[in-house]
Amino acid sequence: MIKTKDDYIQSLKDLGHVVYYKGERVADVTKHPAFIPHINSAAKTYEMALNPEHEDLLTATSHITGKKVSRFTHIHQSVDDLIKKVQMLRLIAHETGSCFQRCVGFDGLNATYMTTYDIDQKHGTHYHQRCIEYLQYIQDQNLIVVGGMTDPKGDRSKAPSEQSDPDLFTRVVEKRGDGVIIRGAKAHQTGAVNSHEILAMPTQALRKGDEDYAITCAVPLNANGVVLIFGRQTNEERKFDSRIDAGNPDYGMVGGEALVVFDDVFVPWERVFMCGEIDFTGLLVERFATMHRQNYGGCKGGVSDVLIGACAVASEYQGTIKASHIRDKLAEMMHLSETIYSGSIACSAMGYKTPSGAFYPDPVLANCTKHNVSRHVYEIARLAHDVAGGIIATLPFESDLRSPEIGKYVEKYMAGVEGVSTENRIKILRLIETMTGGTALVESMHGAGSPQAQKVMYQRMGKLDMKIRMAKKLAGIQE
Amino acid sequence: MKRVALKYCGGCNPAYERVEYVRWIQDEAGAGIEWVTLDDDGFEGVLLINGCERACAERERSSVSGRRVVSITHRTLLPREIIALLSGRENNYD
Repeated sequence: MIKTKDDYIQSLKDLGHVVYYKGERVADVTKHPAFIPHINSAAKTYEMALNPEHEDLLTATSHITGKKVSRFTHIHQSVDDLIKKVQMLRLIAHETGSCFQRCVGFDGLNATYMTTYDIDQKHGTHYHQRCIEYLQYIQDQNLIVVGGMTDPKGDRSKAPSEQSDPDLFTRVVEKRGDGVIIRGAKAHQTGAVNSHEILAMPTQALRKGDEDYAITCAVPLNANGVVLIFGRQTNEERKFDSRIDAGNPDYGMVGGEALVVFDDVFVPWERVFMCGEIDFTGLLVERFATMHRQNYGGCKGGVSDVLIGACAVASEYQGTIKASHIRDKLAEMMHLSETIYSGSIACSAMGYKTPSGAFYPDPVLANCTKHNVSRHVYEIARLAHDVAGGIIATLPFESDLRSPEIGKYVEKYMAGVEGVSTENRIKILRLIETMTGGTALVESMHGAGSPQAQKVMYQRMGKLDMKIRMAKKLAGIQE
Repeated sequence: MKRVALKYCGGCNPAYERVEYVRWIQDEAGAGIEWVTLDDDGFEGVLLINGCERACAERERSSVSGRRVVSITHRTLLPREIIALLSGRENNYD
């Protein structure tokens, strides 16, 4: 069982999965500078679970075994569990200032748990018991599971079976007595290179004719035929250069995403949780998406707390902290951050019990929350750029600061208020730059689904008919 | 020596540095208090450390009935005052 950061790192060394970075196979992900920040960030979920001051959020009691388990492997048993999930995400984000990756698999496990129960009720299948056994394995070993939902999708106007290349959505290519063979890929897989398993799920609701694409299954990332190709982030090479230029050198920028390829991968039946039941694909996707969108006011709220603090520090270092417009902008950032957090808390507080017994957040509120994140985090970043100044885009390299020839000029002309080192000023400005640019922002837009996906859900579930009735009643309209 | 069980809330967004505050209390208490957890047995007192007014660690109060419980939600009391409360000499007004 993985308990400590050292255990976790050793487990990744032992995994021996196939990972490519910049066209080359990586022998040991734990020693590769591209992955170390993301590993550190995920490791926080293990480290903090052992802290008495954090265990109340980072751990839970398994409803299967009664043992204490990582909350990231827990099935929500109450509204309190839903709220604690959001609180936990905000807490960990305070420590990392970045994504810690485990929520996707957490949400995938919960969505699969609920939906396998429903499938069995209708079709008389036995997926739920398999899911419970798999869940117990994940809890007992404390593994990190990638939530594998997003297929590459090719031509978005066509259904999976209509694509010119049938592999653009993950599918079953062969059913055997002992299991299935799957082919396809999952894109943008957060934390994949430093996880242990992937839980593959359909990417959208499927129609008749697409039964081969209705596959939910768990695959170890070291299974034959699984290939991981790491995605290049904004300022990727800064991870290699130095600490200051990286901005958040220990924990990096967002989660470290990868394309996970299934090149004819065998999956035994005990790890298959849906196979052909197209009538439940929409429900599974909706549940996964809702639970993942529930998160964003927690983690992005927490990351925004760090960013607001960084802006305040930069303002102190630059002598602007007492300016009324700066204080107003910091207050506005707090307002936006607490707004997204309150959305996540609200959808959790309004959560309810599903037939499986697992609890589920309010889907309208969860989707509105994530939609707000796709707006408010950009506005928070805009305000951060405003407060920090254009210098975040024009700072010299760390190597310039260290240079025997020109370091004295950087030291002199990049200085802020008296008594604050130039190096500290550059550090905080680099942190702001890292947290507000490129990949970091795009993740808030498209992570857990693009804004339109959220709008479709709350438009459908937003009870427009009831709103119309209310208006007609007050206006005295009788038809 | 008095045995006191220490229990923190999860610390999602605390208003003060809880661990730093507890260290201050522990330093003040010295060898006079043996600090244990709620999973241990034989403690007479309980110190609940909450990061804010929501006081999530208060959930544990029902499981420790019969013991002296001191619940903290602010960094307002001095360590000696908290130790006095744990010793039962004063009431918890925090």
